[in-house]
Amino acid sequence: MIIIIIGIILLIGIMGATMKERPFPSWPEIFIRDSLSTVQGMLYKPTQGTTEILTKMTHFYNIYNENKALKANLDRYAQVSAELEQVKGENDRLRTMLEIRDNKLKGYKIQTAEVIQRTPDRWNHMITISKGTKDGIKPNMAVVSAKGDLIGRVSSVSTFSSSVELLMDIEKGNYISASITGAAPIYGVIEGYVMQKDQGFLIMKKVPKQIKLTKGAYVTTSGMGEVMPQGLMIGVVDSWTDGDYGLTQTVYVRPLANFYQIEQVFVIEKKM
Amino acid sequence: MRLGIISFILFIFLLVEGTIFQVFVPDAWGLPFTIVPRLVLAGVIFIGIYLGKNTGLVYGLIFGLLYDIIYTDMIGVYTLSMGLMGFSAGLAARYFHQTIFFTSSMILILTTINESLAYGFYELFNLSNMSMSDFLLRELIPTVLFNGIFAIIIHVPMRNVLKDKGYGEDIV
Repeated sequence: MIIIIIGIILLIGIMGATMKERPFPSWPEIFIRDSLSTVQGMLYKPTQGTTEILTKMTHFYNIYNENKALKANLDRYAQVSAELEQVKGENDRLRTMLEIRDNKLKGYKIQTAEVIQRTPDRWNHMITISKGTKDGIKPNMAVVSAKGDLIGRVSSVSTFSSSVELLMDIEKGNYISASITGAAPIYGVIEGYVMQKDQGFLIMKKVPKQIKLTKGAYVTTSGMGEVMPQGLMIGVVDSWTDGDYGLTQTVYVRPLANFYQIEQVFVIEKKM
Repeated sequence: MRLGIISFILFIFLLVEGTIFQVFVPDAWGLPFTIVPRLVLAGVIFIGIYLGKNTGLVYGLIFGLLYDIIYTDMIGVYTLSMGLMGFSAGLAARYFHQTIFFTSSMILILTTINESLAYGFYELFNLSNMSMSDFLLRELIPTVLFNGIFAIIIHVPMRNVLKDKGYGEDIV
């Protein structure tokens, strides 16, 4: 009985000692994480591949339906060609938008990494990626999804793998300085994450009170605070309320990235 | 030999939880609830039931520590909770027959306690971003149901692995 109580006290002591941010974990942890990450990588990739084949098959089925619809539409050719003009214009516009985003990313040093595993419970939103100190990954580097949307930052690095803290875990005190794009950028700080109506929102605080916000405006990293590089896509403005003490506004931001089924990520190094 | 096989099985469970299973979790497909696979915990409870409370405690501590190191930043939460679960499974097994009903209800109860303990610790250190009602509806109930079903599926194979020859009560 006494042993059990001593054990519990000891474990709670260890929890308290290890709960703070540790960018470089101790060597036994590094050893275990690195050796298991290779095995986990072997398990994770084939599963992702299989699900990809499944989704592709559903895509094929959709194409079949689409083909039917298009054949029916063939009679209304003129209308379709008019639509085509419109779509062409939209396509060009999207292309220019994409180029802008590409150029922004080109300013940084980018490394591709595979996702190895994800924490099963939902209190630690962490993924492990397949590159570590050997490949030059350092703590606090920004991590973006394959589409270029910010998903988190590197929280601790081992030799061959590193842990990435997703945006949902932001409450641990690693705030992100962000800006809402518009005629003039509006600056604020992303400080938390809430679930509302089955959807997750990032909470952006310290937005000046006088400023009129628009729904659907893009939110990007501002580059202030020296942690994240500038111009990474975070999300779009969804709603806003009065902030603490009524002096500022609190904005709810819908993240653009899909935090599940992440297969590949880019780790972004800030160029000095 | 038996301990080698069971350690290997638990190790595979540990890896599957974070890799293969994470592709199929419901919230990855846009559903409002989530399932936390507790395959290792189920294995530890089976060990506690069939091999005695001390073996259960040791296995719970070892695999809890591994879980903490691989999957989380904070070390100790799952070490403590899984160790306790293995121990209490061994304690309870003394007073009941080891039927499929007993093992599956044991896993239902102990998974509930384990989830609540882990949630409690993360709430204590202010690291969870989930309210109590969200935790109950979105996470606890689906998780416990899933693990109960999993327990019924693995009951017979686990019994065959763990209870073949006439070992004594405790091995460790």
